[in-house]
Amino acid sequence: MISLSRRSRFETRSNLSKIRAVPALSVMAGSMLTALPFIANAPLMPPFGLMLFLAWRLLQREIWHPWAGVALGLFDDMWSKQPPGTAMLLWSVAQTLIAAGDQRALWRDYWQDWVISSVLVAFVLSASLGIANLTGGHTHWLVIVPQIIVSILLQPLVMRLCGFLDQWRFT
Amino acid sequence: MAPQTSRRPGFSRRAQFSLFIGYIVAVLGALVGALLIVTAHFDPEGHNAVRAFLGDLASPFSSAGRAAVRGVAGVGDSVGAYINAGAKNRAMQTELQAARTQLIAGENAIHENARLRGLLKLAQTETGPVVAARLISSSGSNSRRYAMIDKGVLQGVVSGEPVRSVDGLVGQVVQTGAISAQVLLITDTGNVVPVRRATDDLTGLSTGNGDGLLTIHALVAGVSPFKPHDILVTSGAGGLYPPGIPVAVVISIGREGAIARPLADPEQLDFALIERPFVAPLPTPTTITAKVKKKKPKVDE
Repeated sequence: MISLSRRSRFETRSNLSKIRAVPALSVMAGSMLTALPFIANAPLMPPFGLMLFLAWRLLQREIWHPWAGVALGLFDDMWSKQPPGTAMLLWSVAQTLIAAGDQRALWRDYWQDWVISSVLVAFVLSASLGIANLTGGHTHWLVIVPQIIVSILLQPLVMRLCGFLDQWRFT
Repeated sequence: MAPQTSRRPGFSRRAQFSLFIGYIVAVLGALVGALLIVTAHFDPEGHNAVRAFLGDLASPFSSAGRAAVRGVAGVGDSVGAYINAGAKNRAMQTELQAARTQLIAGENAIHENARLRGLLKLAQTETGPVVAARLISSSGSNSRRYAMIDKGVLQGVVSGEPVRSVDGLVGQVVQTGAISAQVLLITDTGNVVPVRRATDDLTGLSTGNGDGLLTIHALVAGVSPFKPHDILVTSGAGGLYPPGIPVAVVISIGREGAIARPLADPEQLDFALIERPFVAPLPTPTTITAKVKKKKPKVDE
């Protein structure tokens, strides 16, 4: 019974497109959260697009094409108001770093995933700050520390959301 | 979990080739990203064109989101208004009576104002706002403080124009797309506003801290002469920001200068007015020495 339903599941086109589209669409939705109609006084909103991007990658090894960081990063740049190209570059770098780590590591579990994503989120946010300052700002690094902490604390929730979406896309 | 890799495509030439192309695209894309960042430094105009294009693509979504939020909030208001219609009608009748008398008093004040201005020979330098726009989104996850407005070049918004609200100064238009524009808020660390104390002519420069507050650097040496609860308005020095717009209120004295909170809170803000850049009148010979001391406001990039 199960094998029968599974076969029919992969034969229908709509389900296949759902399986393929859900990860990318969820990351894009995360990037668009910054376009919500709130005018923020301080950088406090976590980079949900990046967090989802990393969580999917850590959950499923081969979920992204090698160029996914570039494409999804470009989309993120549309909304984040960073100098365009920031996320294109940094997301690709983050993706490459995870791949390099995976080649060396024998195993990793939930705690390692959390540490990896925390380090990468902190890295990308700090580098984004540097790039933003390159184009005329003089923001001190301490200003983004609360944002980094909030992001790290929310990462398990994002990973749980990814796990839920991963199950849902196959139904 | 042991890492199992199936990235190795096996002996299929086609699979090997498409994987190889994928990596090439990834590396090229990352390089294009790096190049775009570098152009931000060396070719701000070209970079701003890319930014404006991306902003135009994003603005309809933000506008729609804003409208949806207002729509949901509006439903409750309309239901409440229907229930309270009778009581509201009576209240409005009395209000109208009061307003009529106030209108006459107001007209009187306008005449008196014009007469006094004539007496002081003050030139009416203020020009009307170019356009009223709605702030639709901001850089919530970014260290720079930008807000997007839903008006662009097509509605007559030009880069460099000051933006204010009823409460006070908001910022400056830094880049315009066809139907959207980016406003650099005064709380951004790259935005410098020449200010003076409202009660006297003590001048200073205000820069953003990036966390919603401003630092006011006094133009006199020594301990900051500003005190808590001082109201700061734009001085108009160097042009761009018209003089007399409320900017901030000092809340404490920090190490590098006075810490102030902006009067126009962007979080509460809905509409903003975009005005023509203020052109400072040419100084008469006696005031030249005084003007030299004041720095020009830094225009972003």
